[in-house]
Amino acid sequence: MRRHGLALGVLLIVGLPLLAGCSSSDPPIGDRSPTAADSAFAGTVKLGAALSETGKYAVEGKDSRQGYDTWVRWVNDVYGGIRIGAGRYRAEIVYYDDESDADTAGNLVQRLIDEDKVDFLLGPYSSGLTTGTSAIAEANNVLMVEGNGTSDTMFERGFQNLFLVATIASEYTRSGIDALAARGARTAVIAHEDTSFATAVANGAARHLEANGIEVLASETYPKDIQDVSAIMTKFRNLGPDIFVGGGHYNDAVLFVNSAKELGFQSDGMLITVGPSNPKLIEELGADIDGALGPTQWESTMAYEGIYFGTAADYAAYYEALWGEPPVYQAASATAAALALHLAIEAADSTETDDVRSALRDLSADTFYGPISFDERGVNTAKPMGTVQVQDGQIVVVAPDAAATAGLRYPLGDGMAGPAGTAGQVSNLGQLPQAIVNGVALGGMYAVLVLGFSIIWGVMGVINIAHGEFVMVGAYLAWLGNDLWGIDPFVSVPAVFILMMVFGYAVQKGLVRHVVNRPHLVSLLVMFGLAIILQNAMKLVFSADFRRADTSLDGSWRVADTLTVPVTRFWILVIAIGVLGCLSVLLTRTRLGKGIRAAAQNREAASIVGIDVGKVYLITFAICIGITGAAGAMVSPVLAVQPFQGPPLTLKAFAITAMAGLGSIRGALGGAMLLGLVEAVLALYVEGVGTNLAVVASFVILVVALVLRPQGIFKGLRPVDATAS
Amino acid sequence: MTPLRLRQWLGGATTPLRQWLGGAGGRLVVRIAGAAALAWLIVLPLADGTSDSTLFTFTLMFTSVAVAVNWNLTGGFTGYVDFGHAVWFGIGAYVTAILMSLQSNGLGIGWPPIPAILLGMVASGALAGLIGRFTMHLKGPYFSISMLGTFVAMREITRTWGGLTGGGVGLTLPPYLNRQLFYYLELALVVGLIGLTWWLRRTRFGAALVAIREDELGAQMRGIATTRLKVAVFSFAGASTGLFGGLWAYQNTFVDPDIAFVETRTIDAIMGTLLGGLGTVLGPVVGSVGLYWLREVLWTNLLDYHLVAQGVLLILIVLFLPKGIVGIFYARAMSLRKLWRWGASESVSQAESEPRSEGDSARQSRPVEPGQHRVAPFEERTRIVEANSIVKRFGGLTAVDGVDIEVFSGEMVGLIGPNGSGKTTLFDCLSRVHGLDNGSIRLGATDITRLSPYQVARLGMARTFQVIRVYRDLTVRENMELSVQWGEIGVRGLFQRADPATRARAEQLMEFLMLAPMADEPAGTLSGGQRRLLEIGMALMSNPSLVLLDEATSGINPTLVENIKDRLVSINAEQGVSFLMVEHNVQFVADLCERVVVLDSGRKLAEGSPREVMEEPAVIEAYFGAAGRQSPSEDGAGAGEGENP
Repeated sequence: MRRHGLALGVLLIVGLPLLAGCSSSDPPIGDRSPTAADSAFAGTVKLGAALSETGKYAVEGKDSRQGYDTWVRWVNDVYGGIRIGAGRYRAEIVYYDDESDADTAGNLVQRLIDEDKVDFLLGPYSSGLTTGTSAIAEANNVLMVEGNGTSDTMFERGFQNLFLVATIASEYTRSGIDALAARGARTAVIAHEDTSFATAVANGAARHLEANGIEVLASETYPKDIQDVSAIMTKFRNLGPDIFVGGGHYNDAVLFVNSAKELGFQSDGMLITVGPSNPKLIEELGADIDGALGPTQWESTMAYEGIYFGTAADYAAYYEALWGEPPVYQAASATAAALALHLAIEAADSTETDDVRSALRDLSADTFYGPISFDERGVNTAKPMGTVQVQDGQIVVVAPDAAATAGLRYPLGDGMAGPAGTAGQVSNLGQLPQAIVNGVALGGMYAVLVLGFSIIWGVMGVINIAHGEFVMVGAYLAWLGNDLWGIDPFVSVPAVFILMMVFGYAVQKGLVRHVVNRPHLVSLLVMFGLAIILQNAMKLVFSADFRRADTSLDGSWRVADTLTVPVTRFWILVIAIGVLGCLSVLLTRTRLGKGIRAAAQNREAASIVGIDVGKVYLITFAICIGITGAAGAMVSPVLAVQPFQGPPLTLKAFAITAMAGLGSIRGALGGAMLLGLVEAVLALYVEGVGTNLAVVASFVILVVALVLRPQGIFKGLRPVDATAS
Repeated sequence: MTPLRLRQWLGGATTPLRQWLGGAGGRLVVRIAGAAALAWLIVLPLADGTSDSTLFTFTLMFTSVAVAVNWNLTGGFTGYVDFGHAVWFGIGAYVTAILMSLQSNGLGIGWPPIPAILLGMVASGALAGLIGRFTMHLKGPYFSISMLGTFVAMREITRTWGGLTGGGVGLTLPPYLNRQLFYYLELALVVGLIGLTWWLRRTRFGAALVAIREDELGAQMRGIATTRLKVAVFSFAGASTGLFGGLWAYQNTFVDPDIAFVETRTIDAIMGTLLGGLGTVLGPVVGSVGLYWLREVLWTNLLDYHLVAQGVLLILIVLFLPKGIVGIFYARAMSLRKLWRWGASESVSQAESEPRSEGDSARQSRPVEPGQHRVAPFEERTRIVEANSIVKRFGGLTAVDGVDIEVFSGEMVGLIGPNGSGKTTLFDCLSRVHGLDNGSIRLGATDITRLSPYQVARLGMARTFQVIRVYRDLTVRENMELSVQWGEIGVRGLFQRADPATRARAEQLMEFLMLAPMADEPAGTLSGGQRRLLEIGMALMSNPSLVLLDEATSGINPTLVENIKDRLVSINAEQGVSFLMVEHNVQFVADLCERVVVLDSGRKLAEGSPREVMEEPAVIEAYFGAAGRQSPSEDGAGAGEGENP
């Protein structure tokens, strides 16, 4: 019976999302297997690409793949095969999923070369993955043409076999900054993710700003997977710059727009590296992103026309017919990369690497993507970068003039514009109140996020490493309600709580129950397995696109010129304190609470005096998962909702719980506040790398707190035996 | 076969085939398979049709095997589950990359690869030693989390320290991609590493690591410098993983924080080790390879669902294959027994049976009258232990409140008092389990007030415990051989197996303590009294000058109590070992001790001969006045630490 329950539990957890996932599979691509039309071709040109179908680049990986496949479809079905000599050759692309992992990508590219014996390689998505894989291509003397790895450092290596059809990263912001400068922008601030690509973009931006005589008031970096940028935005707001340049990752755009709104920071122009050109972002952020500028490699409205595919608009129409969605520039870049290779093969009239390489070097073609002509580094310098602006929910090209479809709106309406006249006037001390408000708001969010984790650990001794995934599932439920029926996420909190409680009940009954008595490593691994399942099942169901739920409790209250209170976070804090209070009463004033505390302190003794420990665990787990899911619902308007948002949250929960005491309610609140405040103050007062330091800080605090005071700062539910002696 | 039956079959010796697999058959299978695999791996690159990609795949696999083997050294053998092990990989990779790219960064001359990789190894080892020195004070999940924190912090520091590390942009190295060279290099290294762990687990060092995992405090009390050993092995694991990190950086030609510091490296190491068998030599190897191919199979057959399937599989493995794949072949792979084979397989020859007759003579030397067996007249005795005004507080409770106590050589001293009077706490203070709030302790000529438990043990103070601490999965003989005088074996001895002298002494003591018939039984199967005797034997193995006996007679049948009494008397008489005993059995104390110290409420109430003390009115009042309130109290202070998670 016990076993059946277990099997049922596993089945339930795994089966349901999978069943749901079946209905939303990708459009079928039949290029791997030969078709009936093969007989018409003289042979096959075999290309290979490692692309991210899973992991952090899953979204862009999918777009890139659709871009490559667009070319395959077109070249085989419409164009009739690549012309080499007298024959027509069928194009084929072998794909592997690199899981957004560099080692995997390298291994797969080597496999493509050795085992699949591809003639040419197409690039993976992202500069990080392209850097490693292109070294393998170079060493094996196989050409790699790519459109989605634009970091400058890659092309400083003197490689012979790497070609980039897209504009290189340092040129991303040029046309946008030129246009803003022409309209009178004088000061700017920069914030960028400290990854290879985003740094290259930001360095380029700094150069272009300087060239245009625009003063850079501040430049800040932040780490990948950041959850909060309010410190950076506070700093910037108080500087009152004309334009903001920043970003690095799609998620960052969501954070910057949310944070600017919460803090009442509105610059005259906001140039965000990644995001504004993507219609999905407008779908998620709505009017909030209006006015934002962003670089684009390509837009369907651009006035480019080429020998194949026709105009940019023709290409877009063809793409949309295939995939049911308009192409983003990552997809167009992928198609263009394949097309450039195609043109070079035909020009060389050969598939020999050396011939095609010289053909690529000599290539000078107009395409739907813009002019393509490679310099000695292998970079396409002929195509300028475009700049788009979101205007009334539409993405329009505003620069360069040749490609522009609408005029640049600058400066943006005065609205909540910061104290522009007092640039640099706000003293260090004057920023402190805002830092405290930010810290408390962040702390409130952490508190509600950490609570369930802390209590499960405290009561059951189970480290729920899938905690972040329960937050994620809750966030998706709220987003779903918001998306389908327009329910405010705060309204759906009770419903999410109940649904997640049922889910928690099932997980406890089917899974956790069997490992609760085993060593902590066992329960940990089981929960880790569950985390992997939840992440990937949610990705199969909802795709890896970033979502955001809309709430009416948004914006900010302006208390003073330099002090605003973010409304959403304020309410999260209020609810967090309410939940903490209720739980506190439950634990200390009720019979159930007594049972829970007894079970936490000594399981055997509790069962001897007649407490049904199994039931106590069941209830505890269900309530905690309910709270965790509800927390996910509450933060769904603030943090981007996506399948892989969990792990950083789990890490924070770890840090706060270990620091504060297991299962301690006051500890969860206090630890969360402490961490929130430390992060906010550090990020605000340290120039440049403050936000990076804040992330390190939480872990340094964790390690130091553990070593110095292993029992936690606050008294927990579970007696701690953390030190050896 | 139902899942339950399958699990039983996998987990225990239920059928003859299973038993064969669990014993000789398993070893045979493993040896043949291992030799075949190695031979195949050596000729593989020379075979026609072996592509660079195959070699690359294998090189990556060697790397993950090596990381798992290193992880298993701390996580499996020593029981310190490290969630941030990949940090050493990243440090090794980065140091190598920084040194090799110094020139292109304009910081000097670029290093050649081999010294750069070696320095990367040294740097990660040194850093691991430094960080481990602090974090390895933490236990269980706290250690795990602190290492996870270290991992994230290091990654972010690397990112922030842009001048040296290239920040988020990373560093690019000159490409050098001779796959065959890397293949053989890493194959040799990984085979060497496996050989090293195989050898290590057979040494005293390996045994000590396992003892730390099973009962760290107990290991300390038996003289094992636990901190030093566990930090040493942690540092070694860090260096070794750093070496593979450096090699990886060189092969990959590019490092940035997100690809050098990857959580999945740690996760794969843990999953691989668990799949193969935690705490075994071959477990991480078999598991990592298995995991690699498993993924391949899942990936090609399930495509979109392969990661979901991987999660399901992980859960199923943990639930149904707790001892891992290796556990199928070695029935008791997780137990300590296999780690202690040297003593069990070779019994001491009869030629060395002189101790036996000595034991026999000891058995005959009774009855012994109290006071007649002293080694030396009182005047010639020296002080062994001298403790002055010991104070120990727990929060508001003062458990020991200014007690002076001394023990002379060859003396047997009783320490009695009602429950909660502070006897065990005083013991814990003397053997340095607890720090003192006030007072000083001298052992012989040495001030031990600030020393660690293991140092005190090495100076000749051994003890037994109120809650018995023996290694239940080890045989009696193995328990005995573990408890050598660790202070005398030196660094070389640490890397050797038990020597003949140790074996002979263990044999002799087992004979003497009437444990010889069950010498090869697991200690867990002994009765409570026999375990007491075993603990006393373990205490005596280290040649102590003083043994602290904590409740040696509690819960033991009267016949055995008499036996214990006899043994103690003859040890005292023949070897001059002093005893300080906490005892509730007043008769036992009266028979053995010439001097008794009475504690009440943490203070010394009386001291003198048993007769004198028993007539003291204060003692009578304390004992009989207190007889009613039999509440469990701080007497059980040692109890909570009995089991390590």
